Amino acid sequence: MFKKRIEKYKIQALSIFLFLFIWQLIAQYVINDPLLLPSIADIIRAFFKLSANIPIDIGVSLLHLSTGLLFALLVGIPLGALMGWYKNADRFFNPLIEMLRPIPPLAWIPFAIIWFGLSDYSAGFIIFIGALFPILTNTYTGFRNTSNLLVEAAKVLGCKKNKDLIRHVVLPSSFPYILSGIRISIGIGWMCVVAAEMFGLDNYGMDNVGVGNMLWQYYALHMMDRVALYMFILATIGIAIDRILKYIEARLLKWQSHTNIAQI
Amino acid sequence: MAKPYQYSTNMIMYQLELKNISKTYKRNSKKLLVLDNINLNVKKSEFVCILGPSGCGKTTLLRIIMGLEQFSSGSINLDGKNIEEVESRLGMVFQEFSLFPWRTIFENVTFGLEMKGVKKQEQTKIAEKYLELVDLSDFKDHYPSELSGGMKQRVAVARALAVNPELLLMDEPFGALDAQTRNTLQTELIKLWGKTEKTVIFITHNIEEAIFLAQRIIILSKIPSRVERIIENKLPYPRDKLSGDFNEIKLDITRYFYKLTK
Ligand SMILES: Nc1ncnc2c1ncn2[C@@H]1O[C@H](COP(=O)(O)OP(=O)(O)O)[C@@H](O)[C@H]1O
Ligand SMILES: [Mg+2]
Repeated sequence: MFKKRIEKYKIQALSIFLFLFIWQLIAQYVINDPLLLPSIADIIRAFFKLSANIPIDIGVSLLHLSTGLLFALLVGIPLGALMGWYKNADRFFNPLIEMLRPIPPLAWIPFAIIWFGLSDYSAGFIIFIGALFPILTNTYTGFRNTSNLLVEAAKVLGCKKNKDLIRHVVLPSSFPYILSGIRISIGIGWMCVVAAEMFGLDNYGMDNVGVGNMLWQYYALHMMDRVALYMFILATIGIAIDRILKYIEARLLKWQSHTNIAQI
Repeated sequence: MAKPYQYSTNMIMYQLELKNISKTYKRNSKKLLVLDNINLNVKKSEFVCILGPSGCGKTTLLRIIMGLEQFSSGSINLDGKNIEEVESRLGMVFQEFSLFPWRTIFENVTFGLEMKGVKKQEQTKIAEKYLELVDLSDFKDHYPSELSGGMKQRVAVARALAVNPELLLMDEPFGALDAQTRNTLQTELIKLWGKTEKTVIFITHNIEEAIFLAQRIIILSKIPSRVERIIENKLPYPRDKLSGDFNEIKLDITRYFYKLTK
């Protein structure tokens, strides 16, 4: 068991190490131009130079993410639930959602700036748009997929009112969908951070901070090693959030049976 | 208050009365007559089996009694009163596994008690009693996905009994189980029935199961269902599937069924 685990990490580490190694070789000996392709060594140097600022950048970006996400959950979960439970709510909201969904979050940037100014709220708004639809559709799907048999079983046991059925049957049965909806929303919200911070914002009165913001700032100065560094930070934080959420999900959903196929 | 006597005779005789129950399903413009004038009377503490071929309308009949399905005509009385939509005086065990997968076995059994607003302490006491009765005390903290099919149906029985219904409806509860588990659960059910003295209406399409369990067997025809025959089964409990008497009845019903479904 333990040996297998090491085996697994060995292969994963090898993959990353090979990638970085080949990158370093290509950057150093083939391209040899830090503007076109900064080398790993350049990026590591940049990291040590900027390491004092990076935690603040991450913190500010996470705050933007949280603002957008909070509103996405506040709107998405109740609306998805309403549409999943009431046929007429579904009919009413569905065309609106189908119309808004294809608009890329980035297309909302001009209106976000007009409505909220160059503020943290406009960043939050872009992230809100990106995060809204996954949680909305997942909640809806969870409600729709609730087994009628379980609803009837609950009715037979005296759980008859809509509000009780939703609370005691439909919500818990939709919980896996809602949790993975939240995870997907956070993922997409994080992807929107770069765009949302594209223009200088208040950044809670700290001016030049934020992962997305700094990425654009260093691009303007053509310091591509630093741009690449911020790309790495985006990836690392993205993975970390996803891992943490998957862990929480597994803990909360320990009642689910796992009957997926095994990889060979 | 006009004529108390007319009612009281019925109330003493029968706990459940179905009079001329008919049911037509309408799908698009097509009509399907499923139940055709079903009459059925069940006494308190009686064990009745309803036996009929697959697709004849057994589940429909049980869902009508439970108040989960509307009927087209006729009347149903439970203890002299009409049944309501989803009748709370009845308990039901479904044909398919219907435990709440996010609740532990213990929490499944307390579900109905929670809905009734029973105090936590009392809930625990009742749940433990019924888990003991179905011999699943050791599994109370497990989730349904960790249990075998037979265990799941035992929990479903405990969950239904925990709210203390006056009558228990069971829709082919052992239909999805292997023969051995099925035999065990039949024996356990008879013991449980003896202890709780609940009225049971049990649906099956298995002749042997009906003879093993029931005091009275109601045989339904092919769709549209009518009551074809009622058999009083006076064999003493616990019954022996290998005994001559048992197999005599079995042969009789098998022959009858063969003619019926031919
Ligand atoms: N909701 C429904 N709408 C239309 N037809 C139905 C519905 N439920 C059951 N039926 C039909 O009624 C018949 C009896 O079904 P059912 O009561 O489930 O039979 P059984 O339980 O005896 O196998 C079947 O032909 C089935 O297709
Ligand atoms: Mg059936």
